[in-house]
Amino acid sequence: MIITRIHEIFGLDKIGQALFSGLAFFISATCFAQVSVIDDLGREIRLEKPAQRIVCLAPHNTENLFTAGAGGQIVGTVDHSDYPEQALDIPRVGNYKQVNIEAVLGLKPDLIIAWSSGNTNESVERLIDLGIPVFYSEPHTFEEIINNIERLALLSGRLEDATPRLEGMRRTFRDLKTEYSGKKLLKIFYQVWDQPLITLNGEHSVSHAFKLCSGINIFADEPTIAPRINIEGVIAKNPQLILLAGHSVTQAASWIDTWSEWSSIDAVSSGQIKNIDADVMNRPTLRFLEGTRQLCEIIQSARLGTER
Amino acid sequence: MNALITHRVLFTGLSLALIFAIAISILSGSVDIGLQEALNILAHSWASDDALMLSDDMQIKQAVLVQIRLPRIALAMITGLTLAVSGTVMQGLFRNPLADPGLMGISAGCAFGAALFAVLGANWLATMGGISSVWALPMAAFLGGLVSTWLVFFLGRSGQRTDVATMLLAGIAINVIATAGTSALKFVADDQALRGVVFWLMGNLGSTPWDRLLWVAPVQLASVVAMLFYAPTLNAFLLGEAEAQHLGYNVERSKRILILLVALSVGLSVSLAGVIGFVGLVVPHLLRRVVGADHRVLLPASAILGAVLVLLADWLSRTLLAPTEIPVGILMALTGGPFFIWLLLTTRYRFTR
Amino acid sequence: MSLVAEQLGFHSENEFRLQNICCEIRPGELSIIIGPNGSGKTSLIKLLAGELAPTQGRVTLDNVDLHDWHSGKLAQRRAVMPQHATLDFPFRVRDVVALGRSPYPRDVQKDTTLVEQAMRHFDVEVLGDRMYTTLSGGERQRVHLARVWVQLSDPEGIFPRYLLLDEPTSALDMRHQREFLSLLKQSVSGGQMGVVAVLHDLSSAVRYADRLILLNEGELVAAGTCKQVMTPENIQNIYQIPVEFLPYTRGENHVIAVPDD
Repeated sequence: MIITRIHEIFGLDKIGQALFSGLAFFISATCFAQVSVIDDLGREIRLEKPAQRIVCLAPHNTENLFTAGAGGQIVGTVDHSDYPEQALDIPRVGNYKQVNIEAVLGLKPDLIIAWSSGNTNESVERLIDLGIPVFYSEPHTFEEIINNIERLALLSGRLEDATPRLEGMRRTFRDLKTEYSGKKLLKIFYQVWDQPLITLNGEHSVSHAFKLCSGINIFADEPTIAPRINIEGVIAKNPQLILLAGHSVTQAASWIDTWSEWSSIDAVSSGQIKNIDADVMNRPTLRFLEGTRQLCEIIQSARLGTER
Repeated sequence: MNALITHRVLFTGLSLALIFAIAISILSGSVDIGLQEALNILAHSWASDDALMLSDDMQIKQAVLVQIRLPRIALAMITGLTLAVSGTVMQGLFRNPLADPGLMGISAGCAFGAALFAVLGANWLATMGGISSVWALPMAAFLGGLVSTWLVFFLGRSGQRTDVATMLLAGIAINVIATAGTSALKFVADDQALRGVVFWLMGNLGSTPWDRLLWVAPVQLASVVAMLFYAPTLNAFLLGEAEAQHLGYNVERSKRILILLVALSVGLSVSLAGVIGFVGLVVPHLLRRVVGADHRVLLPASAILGAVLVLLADWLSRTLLAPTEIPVGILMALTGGPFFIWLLLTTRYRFTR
Repeated sequence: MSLVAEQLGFHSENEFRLQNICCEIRPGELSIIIGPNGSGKTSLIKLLAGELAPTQGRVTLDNVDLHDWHSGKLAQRRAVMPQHATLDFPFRVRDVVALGRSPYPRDVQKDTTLVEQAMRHFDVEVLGDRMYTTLSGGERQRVHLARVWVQLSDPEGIFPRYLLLDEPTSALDMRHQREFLSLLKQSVSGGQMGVVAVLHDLSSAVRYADRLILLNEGELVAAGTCKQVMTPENIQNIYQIPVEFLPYTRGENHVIAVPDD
């Protein structure tokens, strides 16, 4: 495109063309600021200039763009994009399951950040067909989250601002790793619903957080990401810590009662039943990293509690 | 007497199946409990509540057996027998093998009631603070079922009489409307509010504690027993309403009482165990092939077979991918659907004229 | 003590189906309703059975309006067999016949005896354990006849009973028709039973009826003995086909239709 046009203007021969391509790439990366990244589905996204009008199709994308420093470039997002507070003022284009394509087009976006496991694929494919660049974001581990934010910063032309923050995140991650690796493994039950009992398996990012803090998800091997289980299964696995991830404190409080009569579970007998903010743990964002730090502390205190 | 032998064989077989289903339900689960242990625990629990006699390990097993498995088994049985008997009664009453509490809109009404409550009522209830939410969702479901039944009944009336064909069609319409209403609520509400409803709609036998069961189950059982007394009436109904009237039955009154009993027992069943389809449809069809349509045999046999079927479905649902549970409603529909088609394809008698 | 229609009329959706019918079904008599298609025979049976509510006049049994009878008590006094009895569920023949015992308190031994007796009367004992749904049309009709028979055959009943039959012989072969009509005749002769039946076969009607009720276009044309009702004029006017009356050897008349040349 740009490169070819320059060729035409200068009318170069083959050798010169090769030389000039290298130069053109250098120019495009700086002056023209052409950017190219690979998204989480392995597709290449190429932008001639950093995106200025971005539409996010998942709450975590919005949050990550703010972390990348590109919050001001978001022109549209979906319901439940509630963090940081400024995100609440961004126009909505539906929810992550039902995206209003016309509303998206009306915003004239030059980049769309999609969520492959959440969005309806047909709608996103329509947008791709219409020629709008789409970046699929699907981070699960800490490396992936940081990496995601880095690529979003690159696509939005904010890499320079974001670099110190990204460094900080990497440092936090390394510190957590050195602090908690090699600690005694703690068996954890993570509860997301009470009737029926629902937990999360090893594929969910929560389990990655556990690993970092030297905890084990007792239901890591279940086949579905949010398996329905029963109390008996929990009794048999005998966790040392029960984490209640209700969407409110009152909800989690009502769940504690259910456990009180099962004193044969170590976590119950030693009083290691703790609340945890589900929103923080469910969204693969910077807050997840912060949440993980707190999680590691909870797990550590439970570990000390059990050893006593 | 040919028929007598058939009946004896049938009821013996059904009873054995029930004992087998209860036994495997008692013995299966994440916590290992052997037959001998289970019998010891049961004997011990029966004899006294003196848990001190048991070792720590046995105490855990006793708790698992008595607090988790037994209420679950009881709920599966009561749900199965209620749904199967209600299905049989509906089919007899409507002289239509399609009639089923599910297709008649009762279950859909329950689901809609529960969804409506989850979306609109939960906040209101939180401010009232009176009833605990553990009770509120089942209550909302039951009311939803009652309202939809009343609507079906009201629409099916022409003058002084209730027209069963119109009622059946009205039931199908109410079913569609209530289902669409639930979908609409799912669409507008946020995930958290409806999460409980969605899980509960898939059928859930695992989280009803004894106290709730002991309140609701007796009412369910009583209405099922009352339905059993209507076996001769239902037999006469098979000849047609006019003929039943000529044979001395009070047709209008019987119809109203039976529909109310069905709504009551199915509403309560859905409120405890969620929506479990196909039991009411498959059980009477299967049994009619074996023993014919005589309700004096069909109703009690349906009760036992319904209990066996839901027990087995629940057993499968918690053992297939253990410790992950497959929602029992989904399992029932997945296995019941094809089975029902097979029944249709191989049935010798005609359903309709 | 009889089943009486007083000034009976019935209309639906502004269309008269029956009007101004007066007749009496007496114990000890076999009354036969005749008339062309659409003359209101079935409506009359349904009115007499209480299945339809009259829009004019009333039907009384023992001087009490049918509407005021307790349905269980009424069922011990009269049985009805509709033109099309339907039963699409697999039911054992014996159990279908036993349904006729519904109005009475349960008594296994007596019920069984009466059911077996009725099945013998209507030649369906061999079908006892068969499923109703596997029977032929004529067999089904006989099963239903046995059922209504059982309903009225309680030996302890003291009141006269009434049997209302809408085309009870439509699916029967000649032998079964004759056996059935003779049985009816024989049972009314005891004086404790009154029968009213719709028949299409005029010859049988003449041969078996004690009284004939002739309907046309919803009105009662004539009622009375065969001699009074079955006149060549009446029949030709109403059926609009020339007929001949051939004498039987036993002195009764036999009706045959003659093709119009």
